[in-house]
Amino acid sequence: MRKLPPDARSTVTGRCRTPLLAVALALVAGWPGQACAQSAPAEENTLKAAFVYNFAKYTDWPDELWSRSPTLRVCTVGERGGFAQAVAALANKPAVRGKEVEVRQLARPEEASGCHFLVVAGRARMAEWTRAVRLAPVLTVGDAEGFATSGGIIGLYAEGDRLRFEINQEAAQRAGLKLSSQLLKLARLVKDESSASQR
Amino acid sequence: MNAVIEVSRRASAEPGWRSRACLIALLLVTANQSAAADAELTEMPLEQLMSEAKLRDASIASASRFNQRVSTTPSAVTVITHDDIQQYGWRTVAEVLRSVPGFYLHSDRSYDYLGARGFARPEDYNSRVLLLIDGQRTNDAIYDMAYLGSEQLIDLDLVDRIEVVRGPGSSVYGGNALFGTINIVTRTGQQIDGIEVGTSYSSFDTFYGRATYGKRLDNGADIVASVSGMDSQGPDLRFPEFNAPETNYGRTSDTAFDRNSRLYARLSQDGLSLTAAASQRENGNPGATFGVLFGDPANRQTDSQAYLSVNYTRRVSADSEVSGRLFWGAYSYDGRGVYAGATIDDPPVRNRDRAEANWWGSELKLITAWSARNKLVSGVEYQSNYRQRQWNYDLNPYQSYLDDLRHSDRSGLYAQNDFQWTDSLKISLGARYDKVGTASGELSPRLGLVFRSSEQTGWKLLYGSAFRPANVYEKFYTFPETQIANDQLKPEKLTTWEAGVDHYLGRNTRLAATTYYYRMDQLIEQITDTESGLLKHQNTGNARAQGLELEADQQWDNGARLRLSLDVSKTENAQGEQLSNSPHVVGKLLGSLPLPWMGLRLGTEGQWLSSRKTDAGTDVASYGVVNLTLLRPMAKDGWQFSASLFNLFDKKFADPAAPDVGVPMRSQFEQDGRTFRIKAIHRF
Repeated sequence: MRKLPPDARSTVTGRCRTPLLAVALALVAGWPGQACAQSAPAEENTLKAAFVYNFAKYTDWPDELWSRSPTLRVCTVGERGGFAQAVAALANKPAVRGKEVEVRQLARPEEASGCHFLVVAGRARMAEWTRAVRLAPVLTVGDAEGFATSGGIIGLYAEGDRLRFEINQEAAQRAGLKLSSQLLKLARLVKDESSASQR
Repeated sequence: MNAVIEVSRRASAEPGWRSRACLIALLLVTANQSAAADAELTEMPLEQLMSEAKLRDASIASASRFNQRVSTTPSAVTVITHDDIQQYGWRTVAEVLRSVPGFYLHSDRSYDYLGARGFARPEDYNSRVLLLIDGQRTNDAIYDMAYLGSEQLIDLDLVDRIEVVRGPGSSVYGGNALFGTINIVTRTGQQIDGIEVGTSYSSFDTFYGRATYGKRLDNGADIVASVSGMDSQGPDLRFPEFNAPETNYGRTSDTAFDRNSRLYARLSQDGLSLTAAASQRENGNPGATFGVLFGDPANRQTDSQAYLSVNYTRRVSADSEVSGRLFWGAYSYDGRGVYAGATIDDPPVRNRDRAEANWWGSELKLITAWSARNKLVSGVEYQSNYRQRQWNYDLNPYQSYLDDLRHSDRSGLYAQNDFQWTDSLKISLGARYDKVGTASGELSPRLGLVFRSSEQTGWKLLYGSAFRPANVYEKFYTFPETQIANDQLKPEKLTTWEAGVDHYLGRNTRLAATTYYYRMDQLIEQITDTESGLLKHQNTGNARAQGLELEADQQWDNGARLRLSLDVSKTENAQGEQLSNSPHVVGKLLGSLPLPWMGLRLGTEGQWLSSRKTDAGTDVASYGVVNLTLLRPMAKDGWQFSASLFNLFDKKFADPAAPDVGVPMRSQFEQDGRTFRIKAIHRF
């Protein structure tokens, strides 16, 4: 197993980031732009993609897969809507743990080997995809209701006006992935309801 | 980043110029800056994303009894968050609801009552809204009252969010969900994550304290335990209707006291959740309602509530979720009144007016997405009110005036199917059948169309119906020579039509408009009986209303926000007259602004109501009040501070009073002038 970098383990409470425009305002109007504890709403799919990007910092893939691949391979399947597009935009983001992000849109389940992430957008064929990679070291992330309970590893969901995620630890263990305790602490933990029928 | 910090340091040298500039800058900023903000999201650590990044389209659980987004909910919905509650300094659920379009309050200085869409009978006991706590019904089984003031069960600082659904909800909830369904969602142990203590001091020598523990353990168990209490001496007041030498010219002290205590505990694990909640509130009766002796601090009432609930939710497949609930509840009212003796030489008479109810019940619910485009929620509910006692007696000498012991039950069966016909059109059709006691069954259908004409614009067209069965107080409460019973009361029925549009200009500006028409039939009101000349609850014909609710909500990426709303309504009773306590116009403002010092935020709330008729035929004047809260939000050092001024301009205003045979000359209750509160919360 690969060790997590120290910065992902320490308590993550960064300073508020200042939007570019606030910088401009600070220059023209003396606006410090320091308060962002209650910011304006984020674009939802961009926010979901930002969660996916962050999950990479809290996940240990088996050494073999991690060292074999020069990039962090994020594969997307499912509905070709805003979520998939927002994930595709992650390719332009800074490297995570020393690896550039590479995004691929998949058409067949067999193509998923070698992916670090499999992002499943929407409900359609959700079960088929999670079943195809259930024993492979692929972190599955979905945004459909019940994604994690039905065999996926991380499911994104809305609670009030916040985006949250639930984790199916059984599915993560099955896939041979190690999720950091800090990630588990932030998540809602759910039971795997798919395993009974699959065994 | 460093450059920005430099800039802000330099800028802080000129505070006056800068704060002005901030305001100007705020007004200039438009939605176009969003792209810049989104670019930052991936740079935020996960913890910060979860605590700060907000969704524009919130999720709501209570409207249809399953989780859905506000934009696709077939109802007009508002979600108020924990942050909002801190930012605007709200002290009670009633104050939270007052900020929501379509709602307004009135108070008789004993309880706070909610009006909706121009409808607020002065003698109503909040029986036309349904109050849920984490989905658990809390209206009591005597008055069917939703408790919203200091007698409310849950401490407001334990609240994660409040879902407010306007319009009828009987198609999924049964009785009492006429003008709205309010669901209070409490914080989880995971969110609290440690020990939290809070304290405040406010006007009228009001002390408040709270201690809360919340944690999610490694085995997945989530624990919350909280205790809090408040003690207020209350203001000195003057009631012009008692302006006589023998009643101290209407002046009274030490009679408006208010004390409460609250307990809450919840343990949840793997979909199973056990909750226990209890509260007790004792407050004075400064206005001497019911004709008690004016100025005597022995006049008071105590409201106690408790419930236990066991809830189990399990997702049985990717498409289906089942849940069950078993609950027990108790309510007690104990009114102490000191009345004048029969003659001037007789000592005062101490009277007790009491009510107690106990109930248990269970419910079962199935949510299933039975096809890619259909989602069905269905359920059954049963509640047994196994003890409903109302009694009234004088203490010394003992004399009983009423001792009425009842029991009753209610059961309901409901189903609602949401059909996503096309990607932009959803049809929601539901109905519920209720059987309350021995009365004939009630069917409450609802139809909703939700249409998205573009990414930015959504339309809702709704038909709904609701009912309210007469409660045991209305049916069986009697008092010699004052009030007689009426066991023949039929349920009230409400039918509404509603159309709404919601439009986003860019991403940070939301405009919304809702127009409605409703008709209430067999309205239950307490009126003077023509035969006996005594008060009696009767089905009195109908009431109608139409109205328009407009809302504009602008948020800026630096965290500033401004929300304006305007409600216009026209109500009519059976005689074609405007209802009493029904303002034609209600205007509201909510604003919050990050200040350039120490992360401080300024929140302001404004309310304006046009004049309202009282039942005596007089008018209470229109009024506007402004509240101000300076908040230092919870920071890494574990401290949160706030300072609030309520009714900043010390505006004198009054609410219409219920007709009271004990105080026939009263038509209104004057409300508080300027008050303050300072508050601190510390997290360990």
